[in-house]
Amino acid sequence: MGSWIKRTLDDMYTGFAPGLDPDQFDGYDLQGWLSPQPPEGIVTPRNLRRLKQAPGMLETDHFLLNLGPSHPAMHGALRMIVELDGEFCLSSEAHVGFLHRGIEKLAEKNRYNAIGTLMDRGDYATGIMGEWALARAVEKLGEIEVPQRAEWLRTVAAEVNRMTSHYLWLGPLGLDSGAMGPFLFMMRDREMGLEMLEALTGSRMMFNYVRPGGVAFDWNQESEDKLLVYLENADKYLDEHWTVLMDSEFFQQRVIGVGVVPHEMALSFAATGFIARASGIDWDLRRDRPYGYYDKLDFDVLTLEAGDIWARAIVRFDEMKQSIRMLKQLVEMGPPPGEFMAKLPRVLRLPEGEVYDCVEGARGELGVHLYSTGGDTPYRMRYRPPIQFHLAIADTIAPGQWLADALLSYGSFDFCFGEVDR
Amino acid sequence: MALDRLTGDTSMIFIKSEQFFDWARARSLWYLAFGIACCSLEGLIAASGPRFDFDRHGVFFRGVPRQADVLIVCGTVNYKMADIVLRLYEQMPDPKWVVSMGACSNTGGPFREYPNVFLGVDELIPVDIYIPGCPPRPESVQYAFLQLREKIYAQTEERLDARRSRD
Repeated sequence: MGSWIKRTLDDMYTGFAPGLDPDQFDGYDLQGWLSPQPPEGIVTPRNLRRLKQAPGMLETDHFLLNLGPSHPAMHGALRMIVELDGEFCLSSEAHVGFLHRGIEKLAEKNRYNAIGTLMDRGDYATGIMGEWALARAVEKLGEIEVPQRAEWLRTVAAEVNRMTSHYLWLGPLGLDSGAMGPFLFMMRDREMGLEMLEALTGSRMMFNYVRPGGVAFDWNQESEDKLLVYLENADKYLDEHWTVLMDSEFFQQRVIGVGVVPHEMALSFAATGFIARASGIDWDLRRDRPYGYYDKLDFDVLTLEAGDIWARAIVRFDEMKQSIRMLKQLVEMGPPPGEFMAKLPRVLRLPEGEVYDCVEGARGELGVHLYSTGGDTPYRMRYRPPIQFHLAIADTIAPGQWLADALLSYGSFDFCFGEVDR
Repeated sequence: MALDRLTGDTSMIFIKSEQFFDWARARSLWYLAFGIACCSLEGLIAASGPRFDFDRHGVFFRGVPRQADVLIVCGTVNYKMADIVLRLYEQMPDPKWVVSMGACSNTGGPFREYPNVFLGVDELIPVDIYIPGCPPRPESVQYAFLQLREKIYAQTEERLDARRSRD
């Protein structure tokens, strides 16, 4: 686990150190590129070379299978190299970095208001969460008071976005286990949520809505109408999904008892979010460290002990139900009066200091660590992606499963590679 | 086709048969389901979903490059991914087309200042259609496929022009 974080750290610094010999480099090659000059032609992935050089690996009867980054069952730009004995998975090694594009590095030369666009492209399935984490870190360091109306708007946008992201997970989980139909049902509902977000923020994916100090646009009639239509149908649709996918015996046989993350492993691998809650860790930042409007809302957090894919699906299904419940309460309260953006200077300058703040993203604790030396750009920004930690778990639990189950359990962690590689 | 070797590539029988094949190709553009980054949610997943439903244009996803006609490059291509994109492109059978989707694969987009990002995938493979936007809406991708269809139909005209210039 620690090695994962060390790998990214090695990467962050060796990638920019000039005069380093790539052949001497012992770290993890996240960038696939180490010299200051772009290489001529195409770089051969060094990871494959390393495996070929490993002694004894190819002399056995075991079979090395390269899954991804282009593989129908891989969600995103992930390469998993699995060692197979028949169809039994003996070892699995994740290779990340196919989407490394320097979000943290580029954040160092962008102003605080502009980093939000990069955060959107980091956690691209739930842009609002990334923006919110950044905004909270900036507000904490700059001691900016956020108007209540902005908090209400952020909460509404985040809950709708959480639902669209969960649909995007549950549908492809059905696809992985052989159910094509539920995917189409869920994409239909996702479009309804995106329509509401589009009316509110002006964009379907890259919202750039939550800014330090507030939000970009005020609540409007169109988004209220869309939200009401969405809420009217959401319960009905969720029941439909339960019937179509979750209640199906075939799906249950495929997921119950598969991909188990034990409680101790979830604790020691720093699992958060739905992975933790499905493994018996009762932890939800919305309830335990309330932010936004969550302290005024009434909702439950479901925790299960089993830790298998079925438990994860149930936890996320319940999260969607709770999101609908929260949205109904929020609509009933109505947006509080007042401004939707705090009075801030055009160029935001933060005092010296270090700050970490996080939100409960759709996949877990999504945090931003800012190190400021004064001025309008951060000296260093660190993005805490929950999926990177979960990827280490996925890597660890895959050995000892059948290949089909291992693929299903990779998919059940809801990878989003903009977040892992940054 | 071996027909061009038998009759020459400006013969009328070859042009007419290619016209027929182009008509068939343009109406079954199968793209490779290869999601790189954010644009894959719009260009691959929402596209195959019920609202936009590219299937009605004959545009459908394939998991294997050997069966695909179109490669949608949907996302930032960095030096580590470049090898994969190039290999997938080479694995696809001719005739093949490339759609560059979004600002990242057109020019490098918001990440063009980062040194390991390609400043456009056209440095790597030939691109037929560029879709602007970050990310483009699924409607734009649909329009791109309609434009690609026009481009395929135009091949016949090119062949006829070559024949006319020969005559």
